[in-house]
Amino acid sequence: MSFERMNPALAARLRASADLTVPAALDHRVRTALRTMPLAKRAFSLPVMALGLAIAATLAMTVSLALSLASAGAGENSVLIATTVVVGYLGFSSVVVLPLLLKLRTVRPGPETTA
Amino acid sequence: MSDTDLKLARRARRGNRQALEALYDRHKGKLLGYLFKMLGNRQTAEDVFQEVWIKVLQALPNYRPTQGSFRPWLFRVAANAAVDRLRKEKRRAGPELDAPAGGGASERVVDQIAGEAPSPESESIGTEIARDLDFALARLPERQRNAVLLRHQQGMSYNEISATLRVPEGTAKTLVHRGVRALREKLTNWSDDEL
Repeated sequence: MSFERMNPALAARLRASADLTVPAALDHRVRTALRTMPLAKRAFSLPVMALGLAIAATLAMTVSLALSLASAGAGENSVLIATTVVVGYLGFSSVVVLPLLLKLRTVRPGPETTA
Repeated sequence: MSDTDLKLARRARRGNRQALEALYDRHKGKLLGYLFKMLGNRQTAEDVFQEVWIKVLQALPNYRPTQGSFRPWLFRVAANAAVDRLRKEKRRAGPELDAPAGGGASERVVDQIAGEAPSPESESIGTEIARDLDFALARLPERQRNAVLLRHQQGMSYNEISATLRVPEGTAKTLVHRGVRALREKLTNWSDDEL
């Protein structure tokens, strides 16, 4: 049974206390704080930072490889070759190396297995 | 309302003070009403009210609008601050003043209420009944009191209560139900006509 149906008058009294007037002095203090206190710096989210780093690293690898290939005489194809190599390397890493690393982590003995 | 709250919160996160003040204006009365019933003392409620807004100012940059609406987040900050204050008062009072079983900080609130002058709100709705209600609320365990107030004073949905108290929705329902049952048991001397 709901509180309102069980005791409507009590429920109404509780509701009546829901909204109180903030005293002027307190209101002024809080407003001043909200207007003047410095806002805390926004914390960086780790996944976003990791993604940003990964993208930057990929771009850097591609550009550096393309420049090396171009200087080695690959000509117009250097960008294409560099992109293919970097994407292939990243694909290989995520499909083969990453699961392998995760597997290694899961089989690492924990405190309960060493005891 | 929640949509606008979210928009304001997003702008406030980026450092827009006007948006922050708009959020303050929107929630200040309800927040103070909640803190007053939660803490049972107007002066303490006002102290904690100020603390809460300073905490909001500090925590706002890390508030993620995608994780839910602003109101549960704000009331979570308030609930944590209120519980911290109750525990601090309990520690300050020392073990000899604590209730023997389960009361703890709530019993301190009961003591405060008993010795306190009636609030303007209490006077307007009948001091004795209002005080009995405050008394009964103060005797509830913190989590139940929180859940009952969020539900029946602030009119939050169970979903919002679950987000505020960071408990599953089923637990929120149980807390409200148990709190209401306990309140009812403590207020058996008042018939509906007298209220």
